[in-house]
Amino acid sequence: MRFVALFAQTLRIAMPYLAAAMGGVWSERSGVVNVALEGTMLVGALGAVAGTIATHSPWVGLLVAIVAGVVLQCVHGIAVLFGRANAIVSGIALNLFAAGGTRFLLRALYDSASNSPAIPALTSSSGHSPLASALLDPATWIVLVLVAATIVGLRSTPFGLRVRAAGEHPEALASAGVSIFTTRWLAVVVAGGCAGIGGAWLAFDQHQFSSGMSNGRGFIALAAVIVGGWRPGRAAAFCVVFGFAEALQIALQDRHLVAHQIVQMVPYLATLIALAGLVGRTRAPSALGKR
Amino acid sequence: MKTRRLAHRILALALAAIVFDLVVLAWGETPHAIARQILSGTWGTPYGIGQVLFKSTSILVAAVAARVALRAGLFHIGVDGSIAIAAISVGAVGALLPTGIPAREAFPILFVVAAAAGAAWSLPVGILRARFGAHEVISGIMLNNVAVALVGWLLSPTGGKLAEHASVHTHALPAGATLPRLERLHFFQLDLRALHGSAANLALFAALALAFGWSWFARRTVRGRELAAVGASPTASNAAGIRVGRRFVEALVLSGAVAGLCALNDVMGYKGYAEEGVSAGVGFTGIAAAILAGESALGLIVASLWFGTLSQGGLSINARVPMEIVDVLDASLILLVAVSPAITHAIESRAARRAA
Repeated sequence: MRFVALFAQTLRIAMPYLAAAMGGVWSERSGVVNVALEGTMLVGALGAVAGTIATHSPWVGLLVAIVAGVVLQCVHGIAVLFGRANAIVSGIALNLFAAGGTRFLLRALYDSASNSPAIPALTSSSGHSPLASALLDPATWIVLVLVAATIVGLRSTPFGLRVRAAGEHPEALASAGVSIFTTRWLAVVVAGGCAGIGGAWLAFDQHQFSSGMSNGRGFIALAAVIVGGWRPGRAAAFCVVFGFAEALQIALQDRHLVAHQIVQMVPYLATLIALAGLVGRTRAPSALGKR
Repeated sequence: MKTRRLAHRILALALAAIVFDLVVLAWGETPHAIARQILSGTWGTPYGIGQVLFKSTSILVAAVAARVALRAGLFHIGVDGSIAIAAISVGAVGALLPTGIPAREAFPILFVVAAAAGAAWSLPVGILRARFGAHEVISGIMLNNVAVALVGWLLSPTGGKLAEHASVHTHALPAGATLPRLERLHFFQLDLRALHGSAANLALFAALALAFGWSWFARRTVRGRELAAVGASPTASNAAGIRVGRRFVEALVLSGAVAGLCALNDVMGYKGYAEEGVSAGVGFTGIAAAILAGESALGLIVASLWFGTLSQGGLSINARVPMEIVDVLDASLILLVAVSPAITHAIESRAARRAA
């Protein structure tokens, strides 16, 4: 029984990582470095809350989250693809923009410096066990479909082929008559939608927006992409591993075996160890970060 | 070339000002009044000036730290972690020093502690980058989070027990280990007592020296030039016989050592003890300043004063407009500076086409 609860917790924690990591895969496989995932999750989370509160429909909230994520990533696309900005500089700026902008809007919309009013989840699932409620939540299935669509889409669709070509052999793509710009642009837009969904998942899970709630998840998702060798399936697997590490952390915290500050380090140390152990054995898209 | 870079920055500043104006207007205030309030809350009073100088000091140190890594083409996001670890180390070691210790003994000890702690914390980032090819942005973020947790543990009564009983900070440093505030100084005719109440302290001059020292090192020494070569093209540098991996580690460790010196300003100059979050976010602001500044000492100083002014100015407008507007302005500015060469290029090529 305890094992089932741990599994449910892992699933719950891994969801926002999975969504954002799939976004990272699309963007980076097309050749655009994306550290802006963190900020994109944040605007997605606020978008979900604002849309839900304004219309009393969480589904509209989800839509607003996707739009907000896409808009932020569009700015990243403009800056990097047309403005020739360094993608890391652009990402740092957009993360700062998202952190400050969401706090600003929090005060504008709800007159609070820290959190929004409460919102409902996509469906109410009270009275079920944690595992059942996770499996009955449509948000879970949206993310799982996103993962499946990324794995299949990147490998077997014309768009996926173009994205991979833009990241590996942009000249070949151009000589086939396909615009590198447009392909990368679309990949970045998809990344915005994915990370926006990841942010929305967080907001629906915690039933509110609180300032800075993405709390490094975008970066961990990006780390999962990197240690997963930029392959969606492996990246997803690492998201689940990180989710498990965090679930274990919460379980250990309840039992007071180790100081909570030490336990708090677990997901970050796990990421560092994964980076050290696995990065050398993977290969980045050869045109990643190049024009 | 230099005037062109300046023109890019002025263009970016003008566009960022438009973003700022639009946000202020959307909030329902007048941009002019808010801008004036930022100015009067910072450069309008001696206390405001002192606070700006105090905030700019740490930002400048962090900016130099970020610049060291940027010179080698690396984004050292981990400066915040190095700053946090250096602060707690200075607090812990400083509290152990005998109460009567003279400044000429305490200062070198704590200086070395700050630099060594900062350097040690950034070493893994360097090794991960050089040995395993792991991107320094990701490992830096992870280590920042570990640092926050570690500082919390070190201060907790069940963990490192560094905090004074029933408090959240370390024991106070002995008087000889603190840096005097500027308000206590007299320079010839200049009376700085007017700065009273502000936290500006002698670390300001250390930060200025650091900026000029780095600028000299980067431009005038072989090592500094090599770092630039590595930053411009690791493959070409490797072919030229420069050991790229080693330079990466050196740049990141030196960056961490410099970052650690923020403890001079925040722990030895201001608080007199270390606590959780003592210079939180300074590293990030420093990175932003380093991105805007370019390589010159003057550029670093101007950029740090800009960020220092805005972070103090944000407090002065918070009652009328949320102070986060300052982050929005900073973010717009960084982004616009990054794209401004492309904008001016587009304008110029259009003008050229028209002339033809």
